[in-house]
Amino acid sequence: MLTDPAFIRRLDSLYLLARKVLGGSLQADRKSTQKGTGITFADYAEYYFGADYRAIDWRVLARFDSLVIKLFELEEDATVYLLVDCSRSMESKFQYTCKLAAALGYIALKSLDRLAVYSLADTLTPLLDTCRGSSKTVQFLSSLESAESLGTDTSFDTCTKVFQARHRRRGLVIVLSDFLFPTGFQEGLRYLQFHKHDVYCLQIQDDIDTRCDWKGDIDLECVETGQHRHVTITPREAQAYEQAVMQWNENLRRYCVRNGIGLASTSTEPPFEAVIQDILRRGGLVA
Amino acid sequence: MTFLAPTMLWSLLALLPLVAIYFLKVRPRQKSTTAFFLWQNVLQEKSSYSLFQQLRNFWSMLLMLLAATAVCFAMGRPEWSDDRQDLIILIDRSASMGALEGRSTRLDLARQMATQVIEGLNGSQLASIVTVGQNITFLSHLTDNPRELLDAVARVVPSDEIFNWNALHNLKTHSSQWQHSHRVILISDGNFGAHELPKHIELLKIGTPQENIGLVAADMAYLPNSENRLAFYYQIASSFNHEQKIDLTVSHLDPSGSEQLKKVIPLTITPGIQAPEVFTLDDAQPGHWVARLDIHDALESDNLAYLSANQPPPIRVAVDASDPFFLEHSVLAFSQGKNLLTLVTSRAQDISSSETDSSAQPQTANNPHITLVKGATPDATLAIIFQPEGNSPWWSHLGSEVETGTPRVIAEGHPALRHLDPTTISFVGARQLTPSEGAQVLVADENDLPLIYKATRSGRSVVVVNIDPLEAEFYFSAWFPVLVHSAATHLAGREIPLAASYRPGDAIPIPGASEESVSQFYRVDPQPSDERPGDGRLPKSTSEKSDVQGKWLSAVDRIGFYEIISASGKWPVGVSLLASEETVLTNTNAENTIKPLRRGHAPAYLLTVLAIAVLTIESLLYHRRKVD
Repeated sequence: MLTDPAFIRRLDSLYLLARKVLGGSLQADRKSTQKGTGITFADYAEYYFGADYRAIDWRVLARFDSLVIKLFELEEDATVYLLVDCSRSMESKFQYTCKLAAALGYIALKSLDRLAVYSLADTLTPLLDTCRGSSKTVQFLSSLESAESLGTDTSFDTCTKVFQARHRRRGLVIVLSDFLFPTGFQEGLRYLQFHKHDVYCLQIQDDIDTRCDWKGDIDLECVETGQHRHVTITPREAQAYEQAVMQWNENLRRYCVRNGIGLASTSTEPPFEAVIQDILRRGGLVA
Repeated sequence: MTFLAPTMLWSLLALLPLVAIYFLKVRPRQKSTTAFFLWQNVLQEKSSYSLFQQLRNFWSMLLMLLAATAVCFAMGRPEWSDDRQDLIILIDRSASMGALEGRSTRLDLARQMATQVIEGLNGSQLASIVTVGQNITFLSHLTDNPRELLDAVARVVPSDEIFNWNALHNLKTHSSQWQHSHRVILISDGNFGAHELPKHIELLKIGTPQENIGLVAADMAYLPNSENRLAFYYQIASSFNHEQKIDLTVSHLDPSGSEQLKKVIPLTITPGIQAPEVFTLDDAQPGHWVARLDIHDALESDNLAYLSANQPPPIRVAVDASDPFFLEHSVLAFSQGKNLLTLVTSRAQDISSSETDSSAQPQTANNPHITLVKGATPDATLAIIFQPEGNSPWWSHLGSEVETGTPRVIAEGHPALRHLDPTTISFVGARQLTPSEGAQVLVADENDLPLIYKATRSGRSVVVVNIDPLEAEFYFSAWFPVLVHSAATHLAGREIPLAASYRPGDAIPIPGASEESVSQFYRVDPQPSDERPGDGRLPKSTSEKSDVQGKWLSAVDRIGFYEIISASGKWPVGVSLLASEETVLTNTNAENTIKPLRRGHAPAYLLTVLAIAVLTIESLLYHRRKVD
């Protein structure tokens, strides 16, 4: 139960750890390159039509007869988007994935970041609309708890496009998935990066994904599409499959490294706290 | 192609459930995968085998069906053609098969030939081993097991029997009960008039013409009205191509079993069957006699003739009648020569007579005592009753005299009526009566009034003649003493005299025996070392006795001396080969008529091998698919 008090206490300890790792108030730590109506002076700019009169630096006007306006650093709260893979391929590791998402979202809410949660499948489905503040914690956890695997396929590309259409505001996009997308992961990640999102990939795979213990005649069925294929699996085929999975994961890793995308891979065996701690200590989630 | 067991082809119906079971068996396990697209990439490399992969289950099922079909057809026992039939292998074990061919006997060669035939079959055909001699004996049932057949061949032992054509007819009776068509192959030397062999029996001839001389006939009997003069009759046959000079010796065996040479007859034997000859031996004692040809030739068993000279004691008859004159004279009429009847007038004389004859017949005291009675019922074991009177256990409802019609013989050929024509007898004075229960009516009139009948009760037997001999003037009829004699010899069990020698397998009459009585016989072998092993039908030593029930002994199939112990005493019997067809070992008239025998494995065997091979392949495929 994600809304269980004991579970929330475990999330609290993770939040404390996050504060210690990241240092201070998270709200002030996130500096934006945009200029806005903050309290910290950033620069001067020539007055332009329509600019806020309150920003005109009258002292400069008095001394130099030049109409300039003061620019202040924009103190904005970060937006964290959790894209949780809820396709049927995640059924075996869905609970684990939800726990990880809960931990990350909890930390975000407690840090007064904006949080939005979506489920990934053949299309993007909102689980939690953008919200902010720790008061939304229970709502957030409930939305995760009520989430279930759905869809007949995983279309990461479509989902990212739908996501971008909904949220033009940049933010930290954390994708929690096994990244075994038939159409590939590159297009979707590239799309998110193209729209200036900070992207972080949290790959969760279990033995069912990575190993093949079957031998002989098998009626192979895709858990998502329901496709069937009669195959005869010999050790050679089993080994080829395991190598293909390893190769797929290696491609993901290389792509992320090459494109500055944070990546953490885990199986369902280690406790989710350990995974989150490891991610925080490596600073992968700091935007 | 034909099938010997076509009903087994119904097992092909099992293919339908087999197909269903196979589809259930080969149905793959269903497994879900989260990376189906990766599997498709992996399996793209095997696309070149995709057609084979798709059809593999189909091929596997075809192999299974092929194996099952092969097994079903094998159970149907297919044959390429109709000429592969069950084999009945007859092995001749008659006496001529004991003739030497070099170091082996013909029977040894026959066994070798049978072994070759069986080994050539390779278990592809059903076969049965049968021996034929005096009778046919099945040593194995129809089987395709070579081991069983070879064991049966090993159990074939030599015999002194004479080839019996009727035995082959018995085989035909057996063959009508066999389910399948069959071939009968006779492995024989052909010493039996092979040209008369039925066409359905194929002869596989073994052996070559051999030079042999043997006794083919011999008899011995005391001459009538002479004191111990014994006539010896013999006939000799030779298959030599030229004359042979040999000696024929005649010896008497004393009670200790040693031979006492009585006569040596030099003979010149020409090829073929000689004319029979007779000579007499003076002062010849009764008992065992041996006639021996002094020659070593191909067949030893026909060089000997075992003969028994019997001097049976006369049948003692007493008369119990108020007017015994004619009855006594009817007995006296047959007391002139030995072996017939003798009249006893009192018990004392009966005993003294027994003591007098004790040298010839030690058990004379047990000889039957027959009583001739008129108008009464004697308290005797054996009796001939004329003119029934009063109450008797032998009849009931005795009425008054009736006028009889024409007599008619009910039991034609009955020993009590031997040499008698009852239809010419006038049964005057016959009375209405009812014979005792179980009586056998021999002669009756048109109204079924019993005129002569035999009754047996509690070990006692009587012949009742329903006639008043005086009124019918039967005493003056020639049939009167004849009837007394025939009835007496029949009641005494002596209607058939013992011959001096019998052939192996002949039925030997047992003197004094009835259908219910049990007698004993045993072999008297002066040379036990000559005993042939393995024949369980005969006593192996003189001390081993066998029981035989009834009036005939037919279990003797080996030559030699025997003793029969019956109710009438101990009777010596000789058994000799005495068969020209066994002695004349020129089998040139016999020709091989055997058709070629099929060799090699049966289609059922090949189908079974095919099924095993196919199953092995399918098993490998299945193992690779399911277990790898």
